Formats: sequence, C-alpha cells, structure tokens
Amino acid sequence: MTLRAPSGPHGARRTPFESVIGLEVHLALKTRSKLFCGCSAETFGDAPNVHVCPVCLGLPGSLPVVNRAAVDLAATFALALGCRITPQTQFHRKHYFYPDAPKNYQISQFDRPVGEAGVVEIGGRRIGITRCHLEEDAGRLVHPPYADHSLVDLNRAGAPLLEMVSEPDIRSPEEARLFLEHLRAIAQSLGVSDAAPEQGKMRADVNVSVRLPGEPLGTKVEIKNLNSFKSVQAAITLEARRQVLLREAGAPVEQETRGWNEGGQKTYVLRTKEGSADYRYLADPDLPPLHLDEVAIARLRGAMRELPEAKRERYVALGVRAAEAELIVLDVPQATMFDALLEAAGAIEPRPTPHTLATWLTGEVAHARKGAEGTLAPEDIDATALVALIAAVEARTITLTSAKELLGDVLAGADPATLIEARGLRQIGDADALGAMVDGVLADHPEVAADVRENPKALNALVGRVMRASGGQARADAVRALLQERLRLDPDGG
Amino acid sequence: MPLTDADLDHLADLARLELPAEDRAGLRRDLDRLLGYVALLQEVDVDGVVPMQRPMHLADVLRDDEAVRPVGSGDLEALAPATSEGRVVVPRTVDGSG
Repeated sequence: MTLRAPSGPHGARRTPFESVIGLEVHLALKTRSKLFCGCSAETFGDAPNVHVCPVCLGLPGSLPVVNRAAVDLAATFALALGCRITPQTQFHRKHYFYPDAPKNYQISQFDRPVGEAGVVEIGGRRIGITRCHLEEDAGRLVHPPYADHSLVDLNRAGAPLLEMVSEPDIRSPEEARLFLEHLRAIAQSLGVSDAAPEQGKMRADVNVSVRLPGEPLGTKVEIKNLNSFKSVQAAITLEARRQVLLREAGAPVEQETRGWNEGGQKTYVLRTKEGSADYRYLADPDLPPLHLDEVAIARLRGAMRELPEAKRERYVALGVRAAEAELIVLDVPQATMFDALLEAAGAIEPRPTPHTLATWLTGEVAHARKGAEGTLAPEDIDATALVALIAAVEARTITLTSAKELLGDVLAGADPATLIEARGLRQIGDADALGAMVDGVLADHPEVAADVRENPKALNALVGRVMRASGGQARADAVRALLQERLRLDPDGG
Repeated sequence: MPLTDADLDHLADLARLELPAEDRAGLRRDLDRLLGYVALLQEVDVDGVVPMQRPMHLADVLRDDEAVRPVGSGDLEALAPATSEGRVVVPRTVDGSG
C-alpha cells in the first residue's frame, strides 16, 4: 500500500514511499485496587493524592504484593490476542528519575512478560503482537501556567496497566485506527479495561518509519501523548509526510521521540531516545515469580466472554450484512444492545429479522444516540419496546415515517403501543379511506395531476401531497399504486 | 575499560545530578575502582548456572483484589516539602507556560 498524504496546504500528494507503523498501547486494567497495594484503582475525577499509601509512594519498609485480578485480566487479554502465555512470569524495576515516579523506578516486566507472539486479524490482514506485559501506572503532572513549578498527583501511581506492543505490521494511518478499534472492542468485551481514551484509560504511542517497498526498515520515530484514535491517525499521517519530505530532500531521519501537539496538529521533538541499558532493569527482589500453568490458562479460557470476532461471525450467520456486523461489534455497548434486541425479538410475532434489527440499530438508533450526545446509554434503552416499535413497522401497523417520529420517545422509555394509539398513528390500510384521500388530492390539484399525466416521473409530487394529507399514516407504496391506477399510468413508468 | 568523560556526563544526566567541575576527577576515580571491583565477578565461570534473581525461594505470592484504605493513606501532604491544593510542588518539568 502506498502512502497517500492528506490534502492540506500543500495539496494531495502521492509518493512511492510506504509507512511502517508499530503501536504501543496502554490499557488501564479494570480492577478495584492498584497493582501492588490496596489503594483504589478507580480514581478518575477524585481529589489529588487521596489514593496513596506507603507501597505506591515507595516509602522505606513497604512491600508490594501482586493483585491476583490484574494478573488474570492481563493473561486473559494476552490469550485473546493469541499470545503464548509465559509459564513463569516476573517483574523488573525500570529506573528513571521523574516526579511522576515516586519510587524512582517503575515496576514493569522485562524478560518474561505475561504473553508473547500473538496476532490480531483485521480486515483480512494479520498484525503481529510482540508482547503483552503488566506494569504500574505513573502519577499525573500538572503544569500551572506561568509558574516555576509543576504539581504532582499520585492517585494514579501504581494503578495496573497492560502494555501491548505490536510488530511493525501496520501500513496506513487508517489501519492503525482500525487496529485500535479492534483492541478496544476486545478489551471491553472481556471486561479487561474500559479502554476509554478520554479518561486516559487507553493511551497509544506510535512508531513510524517510511521506506520504499522492498527496502529494509527505515529509522523509526516514536510519537507520544496520543490520547484519541483521531490523534493517532492524524499524527501518523503528518509524521510519515514529514519523513517522506526529508527522504525526498536526501536528508536522514533522526531516531527520536516526538510529542503530539493536539491544538497545532503537529509533532515536536521531546527527547532523543534513551537506550534500554539506561533504565538499569533489575529483577524486583520484592516480587517473587508467578506461575501461569496449563490449569490457570484453562480456567481463564473457560471464563472468557465472547470475543468481537466470534460475535461478528454469529451475527453474519443470522443474516446480518458483514459491514453492519463489523460496525456493531466494534462498538461494544452497541453489540450488547443488539444481543438484547435479538432476545426481545424472540418473543414477538411477526418477528423482525436480525438484518432488520441491525439496520435499525446502526441507522436510526445510532443517529438518535449521536443526537443525544452521550446521554443515551445503551443499557438504559428498553430492548422490548424498541423491538415492538420495529415489529409494528414490519407488521404494517404503522409507517416507517411514524416509527421514526416515535423513536425518540421509545428510546426514552415510552411504550410504543400506547404512543401509536394516543397519537392515532395506526396506518391507513383501509382501501376506501385511502382512495378518498387520493381523490381529494387529485381534485384539489388538477394542474399537478395534468403535469403528471404528461410526465409520469413527476408522480412523487402527488405521492408527497397524499402522504401529507394522511399525516404520514398512509403507506407510500399503496398511495403510489392508487395514484397510478387513478391516472392510468404504466406502473413501471413512474 | 576506564570511564570516559562522556560516560560520566551521561550517568549524571540519568541521575539528574549536577556535577561541580572540581568533583569530576575524584568521582571518575571512585567509579572506576567500583566498576573494577565488580569486573572481578566477570572472571567467574558461570556456564550452566541458572541465574538466581532473588534470594528467597518464594513464588506466586498474590493478594485478592480488594480496595481498602491502607494505613498512611492521605498523609502525603504531611510528608511533602510543599503542596498546593493537595498536589506536591516540584521543580517545573516542562518548558514554557503550558
């Protein structure tokens, strides 16, 4: 795949260079307590420095003890990515001096990560997973404007993170984004992480290099501070373009770490890369090794919830179009809602097909949820009511137009049957009543009727008038048929 | 192999230490002797010896995932040299006003 830089101030460009992308993703594991102590791990939005103790502050004499749930979640995620689980895993100290690391080292994993050598398949392409390891999060730094100091909040210090490193198998910014969407769906499906970038619970660093197809890997540049999928995509696009311009000018690409400036939509130099030796990795003497044997792996596999890929296959087997199935499973709350709709549909006659339900969910319902700007959580939606509304259209009790009109109220919890009666939306199925309406419109608009006789393609003008006269309760196809009959038009012509 | 000036600068940088010029020669001498002592270990034949990473023969020490309010929690302000609205004040870590 060749790199296509986006159209911008310099216009769209095509180059023979391809981008080679690897991702490092940090997921905040969904545990109650931190990785090595009993402080709460759920601290988002709390007052600073209230979830700290001697262990996560690294005070002398304190002893870290591993959280069993964090190990289980990390191994479950690694298994879901097809990783080989390390039978004996262990923790290392990674040393660096920075105010967000109170111990002056971070407890991480080095030579024996929880999992290695996995693969994720997206859109028919296989993206290799180098490793999945456990580590503790750092604190949060705040930099007050115009001050000579920074401020440290250590609530997050010691919270459990899963770091996933991919092989440089990704070839475009779009693919990087799709890969992240898959990872998020897997993490959320398994209950491993909320994977919410906006809460810092999913953070990505990217490695980008460019080369001509067939060349060995080029010098890579790491970009940090990417806190949304959109930023990842934009940063890769711009960084690849920067490197292509350097290569075309005959200049070398320096190995370095760059930061992402969200406001300016550009990258800037952070620091030249420290080597692994600079971190002085040391097996943590306080933390004995952990064994993940066949029994433990079988237990985790047995408890594993359905993965997005399995869900997608199940939906397609039910007759849902592949593209819609993919759209549903990549949005885990939406997939949960879809399963609820399928279940609710089982109790209704005539039963709307999974295909119909999927079309509604990814179309009208998604649109309504977007309009509600996050206030319409899938778990708040009454699946039975929503299915009843969709079934009413299928049974031709109400028109599609009426159903769309009622959707907002049904999603807010109203009963569709009550609404249909209260608003008199029951579809006009009575041929005589509909005939009278059609005749009325033709009598009121003889000039339009004359036009349509000349030009049958203008029939829609009359259909629209009848629909309006019916208050949206007539069926458009029935109206069309009646008009064609009255005006003696060829049914295939208009 | 003796420590070079560049090595010393790199180590000081990693340790976030400022080295006064008059201390450099003495420090280099001390570090060279320390490293020379450790280099003795390189002469031991350890072929076939499984590295011992920890002195204690323990494994699989785990705790249940329960959030508790541990002793000492919330006492950070008392330990910190300076705080501002609950946060610890440290030398600025980024340039500019951002």
